[in-house]
Amino acid sequence: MKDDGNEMRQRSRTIRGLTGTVLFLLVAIGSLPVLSIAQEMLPETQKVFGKYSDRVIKIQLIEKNSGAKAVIGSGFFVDPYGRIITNYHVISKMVLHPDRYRAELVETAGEVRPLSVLSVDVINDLALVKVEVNGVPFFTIAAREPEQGTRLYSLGYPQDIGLTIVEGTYNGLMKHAVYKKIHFTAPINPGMSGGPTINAFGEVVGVNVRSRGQGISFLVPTEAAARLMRSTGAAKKDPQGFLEDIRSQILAHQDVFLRTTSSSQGRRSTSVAISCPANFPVSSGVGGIQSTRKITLTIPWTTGAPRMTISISQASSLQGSFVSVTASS
Amino acid sequence: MNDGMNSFRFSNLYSELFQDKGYSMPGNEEEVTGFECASGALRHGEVTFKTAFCARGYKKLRGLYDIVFKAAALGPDHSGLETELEISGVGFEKAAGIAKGYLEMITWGR
Repeated sequence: MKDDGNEMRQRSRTIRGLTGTVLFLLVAIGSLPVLSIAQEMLPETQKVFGKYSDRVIKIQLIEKNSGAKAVIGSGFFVDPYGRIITNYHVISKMVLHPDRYRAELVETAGEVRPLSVLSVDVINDLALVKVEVNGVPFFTIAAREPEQGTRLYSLGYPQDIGLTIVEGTYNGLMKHAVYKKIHFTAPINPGMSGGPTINAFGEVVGVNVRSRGQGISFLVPTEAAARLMRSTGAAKKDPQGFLEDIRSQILAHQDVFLRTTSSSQGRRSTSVAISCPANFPVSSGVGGIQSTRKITLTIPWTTGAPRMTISISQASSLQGSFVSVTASS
Repeated sequence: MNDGMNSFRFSNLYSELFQDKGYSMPGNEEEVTGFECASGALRHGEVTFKTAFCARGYKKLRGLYDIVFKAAALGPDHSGLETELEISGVGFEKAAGIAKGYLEMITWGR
């Protein structure tokens, strides 16, 4: 029994020693604390949410008179000094009617702060806004385009029901689109507009902008966001100061657009380009988005075989559309 | 080739359809002016179009307009084409160019 007792104590010491050594090693290498090991075992989406959700914020536009929420959107910090990227259409009501609306940022923890606009890009539906904070965690922009099929994570506040993460895959830039847009397969719902879509390393690949439903969603490429971030303007005291920017952006874009499409003239089946952003800032629609085109062709009162048939294909991209009209016998 | 409608009735119905301001562009007096229209005719190949070019301006965004462009042509027998193009937030000259290019793409089939 005595020998047995000694043996057991010896075993126990050995086990304690081994445990101590393992713990010592874990602590010594430091970069792999027990918590990290536990995190490594989590599903990827959970890890991404845990690491990066504090960089995503909710933006709300409040109607000054009634105090009612007029628009809910999302945004994300792009530097430690409180600069935020979001969609233009999230804050467009305030830009157009500063007397009626104010914009607020709602942090993950629920804290509310006033928000000012630094710069807008109505063509790409982006805005750079700011709150007075310092030392906040922020996102960086991915240096390169992912491979098709890369798993990405989109964050935002769908329908004001709380911060949400959805996952989907990167499917490259949309073909035949008037404006560059990334095709992403995840449900980006209203309220997630302006939120980031990131890779597993927490780098922003695109800005949530629109969904066509059934898991077909679109992102603004980061190059447009990076251009906005390089702008150094201070917040304009009167947001209406942006009206001139908006006007000139739209007109300049129409110039470029008509030039690039004029080469298609002369073919039997050609197309006319209607070069106006679908998010043209009329404020009466939801989030400032309006449908901008309506093409109707009717051939009334023809009987029997019509003398003319007209086919119209309207490839509507996220913003803008092509209309081709072909006549044949 | 016809459905029993005489030319007079056809012509009347066609005129009514053309005059119908059925456009549904959103917007209010605070944002945009009222529509002003100019009517005319534009010949393209064998087809002469009757046209109406209507524009309203954005009050806060000088130089930008909403355009409703309507065109109608009468073809052989009791056939006709009516087409309408609506464009929002476009420069006036650009809109006129688009409307012209749009009509130029339409030809009667042989």
